[in-house]
Amino acid sequence: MSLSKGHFCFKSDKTIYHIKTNKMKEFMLIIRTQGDHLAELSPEQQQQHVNQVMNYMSGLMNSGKLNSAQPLDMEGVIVSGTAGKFKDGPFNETKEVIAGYFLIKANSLEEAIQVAKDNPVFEVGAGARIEVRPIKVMEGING
Amino acid sequence: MLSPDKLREHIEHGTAYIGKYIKQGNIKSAQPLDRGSRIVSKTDGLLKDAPFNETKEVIAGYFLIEAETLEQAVAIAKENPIFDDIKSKIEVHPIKPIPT
Repeated sequence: MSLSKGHFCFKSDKTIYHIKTNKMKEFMLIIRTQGDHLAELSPEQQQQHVNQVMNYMSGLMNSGKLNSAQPLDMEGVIVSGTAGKFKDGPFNETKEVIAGYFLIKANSLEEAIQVAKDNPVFEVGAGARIEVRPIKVMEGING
Repeated sequence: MLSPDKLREHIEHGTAYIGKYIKQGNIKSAQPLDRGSRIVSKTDGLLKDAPFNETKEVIAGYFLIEAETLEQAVAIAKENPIFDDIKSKIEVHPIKPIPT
């Protein structure tokens, strides 16, 4: 058994168990792309990208870092205004759009940034950006 | 910025809204997002991260919901108490089925 700052691991039945001893923080990674970044890919390239994303996600899941992740469709509506006087209309999908999200756990903002940098969207989406946002802990909501 | 009293009231409205739609099975998860975010991008094959401009429009939170139709999702968005207290917009995006 080894003990280091933040986590320890032990070996049992030939399996190595990693136990996190500190509380990880939650982060929302917002994937921003220039329009539909998959539209230009061939079916084979799309399949390859899906496989890469699946590998990326199972890596995060195995290390206990993934809470949930999903891609978002291009169609959608933006609601604005004030209660009683709403406008809702389509948003501009030819410019930067939110293409998906990853809700993750990490020990620090730096680790969350590293997880974002590993995202395979950077292999396919020219101009892709990922916004790394700490989840806010508010009493009465999630605190 | 809301006053402490106004903020407390706003959180109560938010909690009631979330509670109602959790009970109806529409809200799966919802959380506010904090400041101090970073933006990761790639230029000329190099990944970099930089502070995100938070003085302009920012994403302040998310709601992951289930609805029968986009119209129902929009109607749920319009009931969000954020519109009572803060000038804001809500983007309603359908979740994309993952190709297998």
